[in-house]
Amino acid sequence: MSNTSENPKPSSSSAKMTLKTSDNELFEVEEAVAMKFCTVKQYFEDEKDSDVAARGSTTVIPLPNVHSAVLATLISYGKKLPQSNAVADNHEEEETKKKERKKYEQGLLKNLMPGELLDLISAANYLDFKEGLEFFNQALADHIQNKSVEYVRKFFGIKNDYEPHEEEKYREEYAWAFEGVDED
Amino acid sequence: MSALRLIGRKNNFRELRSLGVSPFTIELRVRMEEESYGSSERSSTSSEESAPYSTDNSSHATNPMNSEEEEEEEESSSSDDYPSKRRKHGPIVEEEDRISTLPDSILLTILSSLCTKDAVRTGVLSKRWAYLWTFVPSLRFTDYYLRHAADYASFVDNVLLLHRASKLTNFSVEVEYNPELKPRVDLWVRFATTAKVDQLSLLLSSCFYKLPQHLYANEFVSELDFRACEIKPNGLVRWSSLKRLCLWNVALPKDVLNQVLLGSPRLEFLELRSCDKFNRLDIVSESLKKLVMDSYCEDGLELEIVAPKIESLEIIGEFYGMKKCQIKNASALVEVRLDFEITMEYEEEEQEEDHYKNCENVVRELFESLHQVKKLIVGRWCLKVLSIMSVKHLSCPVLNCKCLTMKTSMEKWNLPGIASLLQSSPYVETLVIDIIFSNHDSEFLDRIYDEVNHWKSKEVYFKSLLQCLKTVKIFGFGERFHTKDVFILVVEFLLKNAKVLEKMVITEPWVMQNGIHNMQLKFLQVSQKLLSFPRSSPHAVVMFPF
Repeated sequence: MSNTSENPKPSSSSAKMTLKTSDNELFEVEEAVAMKFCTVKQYFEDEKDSDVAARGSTTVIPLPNVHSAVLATLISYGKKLPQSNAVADNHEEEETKKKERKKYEQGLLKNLMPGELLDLISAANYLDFKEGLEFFNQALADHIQNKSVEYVRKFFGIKNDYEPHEEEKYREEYAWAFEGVDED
Repeated sequence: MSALRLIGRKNNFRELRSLGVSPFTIELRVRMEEESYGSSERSSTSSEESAPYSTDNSSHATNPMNSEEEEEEEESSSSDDYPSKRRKHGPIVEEEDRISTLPDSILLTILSSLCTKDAVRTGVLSKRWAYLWTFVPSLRFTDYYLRHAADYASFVDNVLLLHRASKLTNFSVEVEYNPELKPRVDLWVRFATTAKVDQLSLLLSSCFYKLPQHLYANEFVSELDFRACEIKPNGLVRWSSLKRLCLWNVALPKDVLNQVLLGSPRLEFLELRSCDKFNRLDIVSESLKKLVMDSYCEDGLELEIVAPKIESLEIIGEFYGMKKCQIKNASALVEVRLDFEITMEYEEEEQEEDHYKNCENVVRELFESLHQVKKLIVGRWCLKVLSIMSVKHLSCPVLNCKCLTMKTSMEKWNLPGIASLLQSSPYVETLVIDIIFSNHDSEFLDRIYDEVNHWKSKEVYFKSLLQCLKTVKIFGFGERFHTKDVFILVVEFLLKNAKVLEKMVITEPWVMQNGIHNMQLKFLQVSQKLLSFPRSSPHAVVMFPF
């Protein structure tokens, strides 16, 4: 999977960067997409500043906290986002892209297990990938919206460490919040 | 911690570069890295070899705080293997509680997306979650479980008492209001403004709530949504950070809107939905970028918009007896949506005539002031007026638009309007036809016009049209099959005359996905016919993506 990266040209939009995951996979990513990961952006900019002479060499950016499967998903989500440098004067293309993105998002969330979702959230947080974090956080919120406490506990494997009387007290105090909820 | 580790690695890279390592042999560099770290936990550099998969994934890289570099290669490269098990016939069950290990900041962001009712419930999940929700910077009381409004209000009060975040990003309340609740709602507003809320939404119903005076001077709020509220400032309005304002069913007498606009120098988005009490609305703003006017039910509205920076305009809904709608200095306007209707009650034919004359004037003036807009959406009713105008031999003003969308039911009486619009848009490059359902009556038109040959007779004038048309998209065909004759006519015409047409896409007809076999067959026949029409553009492609 490791492929050679081109020498990043200073003003080219097709400049690529290489990211290395915790399980040693190398991902070649377009600069525009990689820059959405602010951690990567920071690293890249620091690199640029500190070694101007060695412009010719390519940097492999290590991401020891991100697994390849997770990074693959985040990269493909990043690609589907509207690019900041793209010229968007054709409204039709914008509309089609929006529709494609919606479809992609739906497909992505359909088969997502809670563990995977958490991985994506964690990784997006580590990479400082704002849009990804927002999207996956919202997906998680949508999952637990209006669901019963038991459902959420089961779904995420949360262990209930309350004494029964403590839990009872809480439920009584906020009785309103417990009404009209989807039972599993 | 992870940041430090990163820096450590950077130093190594620098060393490598100073050694003049070739940039093209990545495998070599990676191997050198390994040697420099002295650890040999990575058995391979390529992804083909995978370490044996292990179910114990506790140090998997979810938490940056405790992942180690020298960790065992625990996961296979297959992306499907995850520690959570899924019972075949049961709900999803997680084996371990990883969500609780996420840092507070992430959990709070997740809780922010929930309505407060759900957020409060999370407190009982486990002790770690106990009072996490009290720090959520977003409060949404938008659940409509209103057995008693008083109970609901008590719930809100209780939550506000326990709430601990010092800054609120969002405070939304949706409640059925009655005047007895006033002191409590006042307190809620006070609570929100003290917490320097960014977005405040009061969506009330059934009675009007008078906004407290202190709200009119607020330098933090950037978005306000009010429904069924009474805006009556005693002094100046000072909303210096306000960017978005949505008013729904709000009375705006005389100069109130003026005061609001004057006091909101940064306002970019304004939506007025079913507001009333003004006969004449002058919208004057230097900063406004987008305006949405949705419906007005009192008689005889005169609307004038002076917003030199405005880029997007939507006029939608029903306007009873609207007399005028003008935009002065629309040089920055890029996209406009005219999906509205002027309604009127009349008994005699003469009154009907007058009504339509008025409509024609409004539409014509509107189009004149929008002639340079690049993207235009013309709704069903405007198209109808254009049809009437065309039949009376009144022309539509010339438009410079490049992307034109028409909402039409593809019925006979739409044709003159479609023809007229195409005739007035010589520069259009993209044409979108959105076929919609309409049970609108066309009695008036039927009386003054009843030949489809009208279209054919005009065809000779169409030779010079469609010089720039490159793309045509048609949505929604197939739901109502009896309109296919008109549809075929239009498509035939487009194919024949659009000389630089590149593609025509006829998308997602409902009948193909859900229709009965018989219908689908008929539709395919129509498709065949369309494909057989002669095209004047040698490169034109007709696509049916379904």
